Amino acid sequence: MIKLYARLFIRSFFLQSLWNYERMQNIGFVFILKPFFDKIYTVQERKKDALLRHISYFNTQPYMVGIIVGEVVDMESKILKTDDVNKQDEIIRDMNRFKNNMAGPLAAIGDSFFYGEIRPMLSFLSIFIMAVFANRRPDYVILAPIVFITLYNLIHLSTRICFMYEGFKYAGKSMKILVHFKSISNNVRFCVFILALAALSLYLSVFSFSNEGRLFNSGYDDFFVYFAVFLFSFFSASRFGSLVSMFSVVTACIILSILGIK
Amino acid sequence: MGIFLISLIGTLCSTDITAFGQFMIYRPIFCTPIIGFLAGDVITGLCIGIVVELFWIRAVPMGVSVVVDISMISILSTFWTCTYFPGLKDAAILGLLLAIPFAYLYRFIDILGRELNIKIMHWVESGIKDSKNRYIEIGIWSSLIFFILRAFLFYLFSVTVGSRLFCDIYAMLPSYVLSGLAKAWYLLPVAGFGVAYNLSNVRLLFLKDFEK
Repeated sequence: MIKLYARLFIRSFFLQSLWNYERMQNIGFVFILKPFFDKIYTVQERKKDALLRHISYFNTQPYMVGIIVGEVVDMESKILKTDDVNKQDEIIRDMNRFKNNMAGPLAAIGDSFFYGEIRPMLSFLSIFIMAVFANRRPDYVILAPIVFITLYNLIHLSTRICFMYEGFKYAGKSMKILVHFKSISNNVRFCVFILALAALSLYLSVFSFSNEGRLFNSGYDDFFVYFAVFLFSFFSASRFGSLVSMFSVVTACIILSILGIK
Repeated sequence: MGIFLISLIGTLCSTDITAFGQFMIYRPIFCTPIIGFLAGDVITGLCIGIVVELFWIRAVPMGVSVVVDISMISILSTFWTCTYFPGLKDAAILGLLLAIPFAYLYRFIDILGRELNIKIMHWVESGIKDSKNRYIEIGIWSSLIFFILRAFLFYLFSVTVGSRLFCDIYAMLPSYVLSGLAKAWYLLPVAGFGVAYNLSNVRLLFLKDFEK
């Protein structure tokens, strides 16, 4: 059975390979479940029915799919074990309801936790590491991307494994694991903010306020320029987007140069 | 560094965004030092990566949204800078600005590719109805191969055409524009921090309870 679960786990990396606008991850989800159906169904007609049950719209966060796979595997096993058609229909209804009701919230939790908190936190940590080593030990800056990718994948892969394990082992109760997410999420969000401030301060002291990083030679105080740029992007990004902020800063720099301010 | 090698690395990174894995190898903070290392300038690569990472830190492929391929922006700009004008800060910013239209063009092609996936999905569905279950694997692999092919071909195109364009534009730019771009090298990371932690994020963190 462990071999089968390992196959389902490896296949979960392909969830979005056939992502489409009409039904999103439906074929990816069927692709994950196929080895399970191959194992439990010997009658082709029943296997076909089982595959067609999961061909409808499906969309969730790829890291969280393990929970749904675990629950669906459990429910499909129950369908196989019963010969009562009414009971089978009831389980199928429950399964579809579970899939439809849980995929969205799991996607929202997963996206905000991994993409909105964990990843920015590790990005700021990497920038911090880069700023620490940039001047003193330039050879060590390579640690920044290594730390980022190692820590992120440690968290991401262990979450995937844990969710699939919980899904299989505690089918019907696996959603309890999500309760822990909120408390972790609040702490991580605060860590992101602290790390962002630390990375910004260190980055400024190493790169921007060094002799090399002096922007103006004619009495313009660099501190106010950096502060103004930060404030501008801080207020404009949420309203106009990151591209507008980027092009505005570059355009302002070119205008200053055209005006001859050095 | 060869065009094929850079296209191969770029394709791997683009595939990681949605098609396979999501191991975050496509994040600029990881892929640009690799390109920088291969081209002989890790620090410049990492600095470009930091700027792109900060400006698109919350760019996430959620639901039906197709985000711009930020690995393409960072890989192309790092490759152009480290190969043709190593160590020049103005060239790095020019490369960054020039890579953005290429990434947006690729986004358009990516959307067309996902339209093609609808046809593959219906083909797989008809296969399942006819009890041809192998169609599931064939559908997944063919979609993945299409994705890899279009990313690889687009990288070949953008590296070849973009390199020429990059060198020509840089040679044509007057000195005051180059001086402005060099200033932007120092200011863009700071602006990036402002974008990464913009007003809406801070409001979410500190003021959400207060505003209730």
